[in-house]
Amino acid sequence: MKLTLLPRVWYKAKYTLCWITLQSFLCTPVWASDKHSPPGLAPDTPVKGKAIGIAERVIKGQITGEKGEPLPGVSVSEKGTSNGAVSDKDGHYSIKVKDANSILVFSFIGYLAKEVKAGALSVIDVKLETLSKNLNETVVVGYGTQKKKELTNAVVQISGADIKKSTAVSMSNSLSGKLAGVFINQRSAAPGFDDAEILVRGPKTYRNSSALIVIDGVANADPDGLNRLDPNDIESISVLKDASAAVYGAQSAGGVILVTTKRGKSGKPTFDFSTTHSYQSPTMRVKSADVFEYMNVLNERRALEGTPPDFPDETINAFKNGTRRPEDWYKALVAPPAKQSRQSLTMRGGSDKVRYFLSAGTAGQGGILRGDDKTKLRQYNVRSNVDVSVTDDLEVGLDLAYREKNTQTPQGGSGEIAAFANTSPLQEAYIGGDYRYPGEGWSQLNPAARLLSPGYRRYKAEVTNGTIRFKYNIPFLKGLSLDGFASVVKTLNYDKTFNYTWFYYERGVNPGEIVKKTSRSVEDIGLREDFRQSQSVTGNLKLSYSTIIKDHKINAFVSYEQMAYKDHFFWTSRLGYASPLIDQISAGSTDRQNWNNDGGATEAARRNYFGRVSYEYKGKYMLGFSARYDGSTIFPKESRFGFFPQASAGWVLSQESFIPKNIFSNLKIRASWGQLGNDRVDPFQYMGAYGYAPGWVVNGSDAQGIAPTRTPNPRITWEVSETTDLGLETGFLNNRLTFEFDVYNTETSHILGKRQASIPGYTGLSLPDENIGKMNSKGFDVQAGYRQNFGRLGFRVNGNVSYSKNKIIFFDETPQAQPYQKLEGNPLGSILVYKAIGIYRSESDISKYPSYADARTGGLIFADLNNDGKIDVNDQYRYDATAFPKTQFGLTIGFDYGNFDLTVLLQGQTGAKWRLSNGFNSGAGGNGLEYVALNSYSLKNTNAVLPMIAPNGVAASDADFYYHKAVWARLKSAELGYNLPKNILQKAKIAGLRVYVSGENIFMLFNNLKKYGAGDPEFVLGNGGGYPNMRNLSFGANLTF
Amino acid sequence: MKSLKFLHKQAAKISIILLAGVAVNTISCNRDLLDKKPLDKLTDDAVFSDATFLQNYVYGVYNGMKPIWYPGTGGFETLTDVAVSQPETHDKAAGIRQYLEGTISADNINDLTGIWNEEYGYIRKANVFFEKTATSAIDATKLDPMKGEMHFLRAWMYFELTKTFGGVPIITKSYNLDDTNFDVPRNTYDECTKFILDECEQAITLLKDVAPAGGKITKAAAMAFKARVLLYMASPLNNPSNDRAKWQAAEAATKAVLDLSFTLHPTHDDLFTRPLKTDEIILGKSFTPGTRVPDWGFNYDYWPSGFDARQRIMPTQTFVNMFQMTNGQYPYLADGVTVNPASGYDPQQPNKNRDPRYYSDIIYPGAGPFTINDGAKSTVRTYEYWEDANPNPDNAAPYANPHKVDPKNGQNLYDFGRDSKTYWVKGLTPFHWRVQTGYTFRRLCDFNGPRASFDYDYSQAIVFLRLAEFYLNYAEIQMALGNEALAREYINKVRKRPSVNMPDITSTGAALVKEYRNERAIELHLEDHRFFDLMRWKAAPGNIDIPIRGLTSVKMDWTGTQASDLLGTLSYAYGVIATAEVRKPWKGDYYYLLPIPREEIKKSHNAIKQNPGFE
Repeated sequence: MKLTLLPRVWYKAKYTLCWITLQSFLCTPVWASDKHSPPGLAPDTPVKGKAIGIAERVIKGQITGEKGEPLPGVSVSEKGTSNGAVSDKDGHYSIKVKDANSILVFSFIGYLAKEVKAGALSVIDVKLETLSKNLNETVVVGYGTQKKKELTNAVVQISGADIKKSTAVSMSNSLSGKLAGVFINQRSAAPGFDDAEILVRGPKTYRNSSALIVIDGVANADPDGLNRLDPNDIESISVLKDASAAVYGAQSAGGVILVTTKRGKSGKPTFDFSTTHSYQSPTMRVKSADVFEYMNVLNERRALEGTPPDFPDETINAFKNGTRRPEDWYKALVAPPAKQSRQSLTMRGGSDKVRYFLSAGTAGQGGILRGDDKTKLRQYNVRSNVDVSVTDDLEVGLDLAYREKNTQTPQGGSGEIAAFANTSPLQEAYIGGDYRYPGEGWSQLNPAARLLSPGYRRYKAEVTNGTIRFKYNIPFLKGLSLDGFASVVKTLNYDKTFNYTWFYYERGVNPGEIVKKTSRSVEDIGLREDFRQSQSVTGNLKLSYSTIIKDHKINAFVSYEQMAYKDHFFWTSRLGYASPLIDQISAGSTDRQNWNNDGGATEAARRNYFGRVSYEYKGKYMLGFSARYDGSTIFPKESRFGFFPQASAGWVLSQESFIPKNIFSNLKIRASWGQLGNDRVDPFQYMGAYGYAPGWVVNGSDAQGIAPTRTPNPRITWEVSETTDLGLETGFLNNRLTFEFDVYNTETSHILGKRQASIPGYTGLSLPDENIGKMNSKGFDVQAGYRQNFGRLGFRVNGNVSYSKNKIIFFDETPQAQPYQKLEGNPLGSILVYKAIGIYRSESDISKYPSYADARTGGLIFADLNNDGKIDVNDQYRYDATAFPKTQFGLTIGFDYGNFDLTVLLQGQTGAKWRLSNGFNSGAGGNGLEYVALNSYSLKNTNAVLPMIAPNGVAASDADFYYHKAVWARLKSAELGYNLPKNILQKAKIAGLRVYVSGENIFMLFNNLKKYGAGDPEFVLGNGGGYPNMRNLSFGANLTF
Repeated sequence: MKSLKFLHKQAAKISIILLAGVAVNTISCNRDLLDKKPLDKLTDDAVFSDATFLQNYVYGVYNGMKPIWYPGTGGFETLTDVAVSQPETHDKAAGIRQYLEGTISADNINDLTGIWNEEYGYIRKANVFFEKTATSAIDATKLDPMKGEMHFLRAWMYFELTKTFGGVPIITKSYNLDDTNFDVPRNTYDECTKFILDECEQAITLLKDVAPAGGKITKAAAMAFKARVLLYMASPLNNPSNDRAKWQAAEAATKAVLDLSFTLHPTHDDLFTRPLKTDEIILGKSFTPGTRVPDWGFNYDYWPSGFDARQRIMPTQTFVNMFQMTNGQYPYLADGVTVNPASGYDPQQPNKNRDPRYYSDIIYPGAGPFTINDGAKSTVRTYEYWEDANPNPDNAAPYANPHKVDPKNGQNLYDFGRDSKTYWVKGLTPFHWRVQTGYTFRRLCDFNGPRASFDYDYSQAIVFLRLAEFYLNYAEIQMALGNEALAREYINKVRKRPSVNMPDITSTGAALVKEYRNERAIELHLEDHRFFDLMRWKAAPGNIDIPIRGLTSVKMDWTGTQASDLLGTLSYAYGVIATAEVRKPWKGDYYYLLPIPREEIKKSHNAIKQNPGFE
């Protein structure tokens, strides 16, 4: 094991420290031998220092690889001489050189040779870079792997190590900003409900566009996708962004995300223990109006209307003179930090015959509400991947994975925390500000008081996956192999909802007296338990052939796959619990009228035939074809099979003689085309179906009702996305600088939609989905990377920019709509709004402009788009109001220096629309944003930026005025790690220990919505109400032994 | 070692064979892998060939008869002089406001009512029923009554549409997606009504042998419904030439209903609680735990403010003034402001000597005591609609209330009515609604249950057709036919219900018409009649475009009260409610019908023509 490789490092550590200090002062340039390094940093830059000119000296040092691992056997020579040395097993070398002008050359197979000027130092540690790392990297593609340089498709991959740089519990959030072309948006941070929405290259249909998640070859192996996997188990995640996804047929149109878990390696077992502890606090505070702003804005509205004020002077005065205490609900309810932690232990090793990877992990998260011990997430992950080489030709593997997710929220759910944003500041969240006494709140719904209820909601999900796989190299023909797997995924859901009343407090009759009150029953007092069990069995058999004939390399496979799915559920409930002490069904009311239950079952199946051929000539020309023939139970028998072809080609120009090698270390162009399917629709829509429905009461008893659940559409089929991608990959400076650029166009047709606009209501049809829609989406992804080692300072930067835009080509629209009202030609998420051209600031404005009925001062002026002299619905126009961003970028910068490493991620997006909500009312849930309270039109503020609050009639209609483009960039994450010196660790028989501190969502670099004070712009919440986004501060350690 | 290797090889071969075998098996034995059916749905065949399922299908369509139709719950009452809406709580507040301000249009009609699509949805279900059962093998003794119910229901849906929009397209076939043309013009009002009457006739025939059951559509219901339809047809809006034959047709049909064996239920109050009072109620609906009143029930919609109930609607002073004194005199003269000297009414003692229905239908300041169930606050209280009955936690003067503590349970009394505003402004109780007239509807409140609870099985019952309406309809018909004496006789029958027992009316001419209409407003309020009555009478001006009056101030003086007294001395001020909507003058005759949603006209490629005035 590694112990034997351990260097004697204490002296080295001392050197390291000295070296770091010196280095940072002297900035001795230590450059690799590349001719294209920036001028001014060239190797011959004169070096200051008193050691210059000392003749015949010994230089020592350690040679390490990318990850700081010592490299033995590296040859070190003095340039222009025969003088040479080789590093020892710990990577140490020692060489005599002439003088400070001597140049040391380090070379090692598989690594980029490096030249270093000896300079003044007697210790030179060198970090060697892997040769052409990017190109030899293995990329996981559908049903196989390819070398990066062989790819003819747009595939982006991230390693498990990079995923682990994020401390997010839900893994989709860990990918944010790291993958070009993959749009990741988080919309809530409630523990257990914080999964980000992942859309590969943006929405392609107005239906479900989400990507297919495949874990170790098994599609839909986890109902939560990749969200609840343990990042410590992940080897890599790759995303098929273009037509290469077509090999997944009818489920591929949203892109495919392939998750590969770690497997065993021959060798002594290594144990990895990692632990992270995080403290979470909201990224941004929501600025709701305070009590005076709140009362003022409402009273001003009444003054404008000429009706009595909502709040009499006595009330305002009571707050002014301190007789009454106003509440800042945000401050009162939100009490950071919330805690989060993750622990994981993995073991990896094996012999030649048997290799294993075993892992167990747990993660937990708490809530942000003050005194909240109810909001909880706790998940457990266990995995065992075992591979056995039965013979030279046969390998058998068994993967077992179990995970459990337990989420608990207070009664009513975690979302209730949102009440802080609009609860009236006249209400006290805590009586007298004393946290022991939560008040009544809005409609007795003070979330702080609700926490005191014995009630809760618990969601438990258990997912068990067992996969047995084999690979047999058929002996009589080299390159021919048969492999396959059978996988069972079983999920169990057990939800338990218990509702009860709680206490809240009120001020009593006597001064200082606080009275305890029981709430009314907001939810049915009672218990409900839901059970759902599902099982899917996937079987796959694949015959592959690969051969190399001279310059021709061929890979091919044909495969058959089938899947059968079944689920059933039931729930049972009882109402009427005299006491909350026993939260069991049996403790509920014995009156059978308070018993209730329901249940049901569904089943589904798929059967697929597919294959792929890839061909490569001289490493220059590459072609790929795949095709899939997919059938499922979703569609009618006659038309349930669909065909999904894909073709792609690549040309490595840098292999051609006419491309100057000294400029391009890699130059490749590639193109792909394919048809992808999306069958995420309710099954059996081709059949008419009836279900139980509300009935009637006859002679005082219930009589069952039955009603059709839909109108059948016998011609229903999947949506088809025809997608084309053009890609350019370039590498410079020995591929230290890389660019990858992809441009794509996707035409989606047969989009399911209802003909709601052309079939009149008097037909009484409850419209089914029909394949009528068309949509186009196009865009580009760019990624660029650069890495360079400056002596012991490793530096790497990776950036990506993704742009995606879409437009509706066909949508069922009401005939005779005005041309500017058509959804067609506009992006998904475009809505009809009025075009605001100002505010009626005076009576004369009302006659100056065409106006609507009951137009009044303070209302928005709408443009008369059809010039008919009046404002009506025909003046609404189509406006892009989507909350989905058009452009996003991510920039990862990494440094490592000696035992330290630092990774920083900047991330941002633009193009999403956020709507300012200007609602206020005098009720207990009527508060809004401070910005609105201060900037709305009133008799006293006729030059206001915003119209009056809460207008009536047409003035209250939606207008483009309220929408703002969200443009923001943030320091998404930063992690600083330190590897403890090995000689210290050695004493403790530890192979490695890395400690780190990291932060997520650290601060905003730019946020154009800041002035509105509506909270985190990523969440696009109108008035900021919602579970706030979190900033994490984490401490962690990875221990290897 | 060698043998081990050999073994391995053998094992490998065996496993390959096994795997291959399994693979072949899975492929070959799974020929029907993709032949799946939905496991939890019924098919067409099952529903239309099984008599029980079919009856269930019919019960599903019964839901086309809504308790207290739109807008929201609360019915159309707030579009009339009877009630005013509470905009902060009313789901249809925008539509109500637009209607009363004269700006309801084809663009915003859905703010007021979505009846067009809803009723046509049920009509389609009926059409499908008739198509599928045309050749049914189900025994006629079972099938015919169901057909009868369905004819009645289809008629009901069309009647809802015609009284709202006038003539509408008569659709009797079920469209399907393959149809290439969906454009159908409107039928006239008369065509629609003829269709409705035909449907009623068929229902009467098909239901002739069916024994009545509470809640079920019966022959009597079909007869009564037919009589109502004929009354609408004879009314001024639909009978501009005042064709006497139409009145006579209505008379005959109504008389037939009166000749059935229904009688007035002795206590008026009980009509609206379960079980259905089938002596008077011809068709109604009660609720069970399984079919609770939708949402949180009528309590939530009508319960007085002071809790976080919605109190969507409130009676106006105009409505309150319709309740006569027990001597048969109105408290106010026609202007609604001047006290009727003959009545003995004292505006400072407004709750004395009123029509008994006043006490069961209106919650007025000091009404009660009521049992109020609201968690820990449950208590017995009178309705405190007066200012600052209980304003200061420290009970400071001048509002000293000797009854701050509930004698019943020792709890601190909370507010229940107007003073809840003060209470609310204190930040103590979260809901207060701005628009207050001082009165609350009582008819559909259940004081045995909590004001808002999912748990509680409220006892309210809904009336669709009851005998009292037909007495009044008959009186109206007789007035139109010139038989005032007969008209008075039938009005007086309603007034002579034992629990009401008001003196006979004796007026004639215009006074009789007014008295009849007031009687009808009181007797049938919250049963969805007033708005459509005003429409068909073309009587909106002066009845809809009115200022909303109510109690602008009520004060309580506790001087001289005993510890057991629930009330001190109340003093009242009346006036226009400043916070209520300002109703604009009646727009004109075109406003008696509502506009058809613009989208529907567009979707029909203009085959549907808009009602005049709304184009």
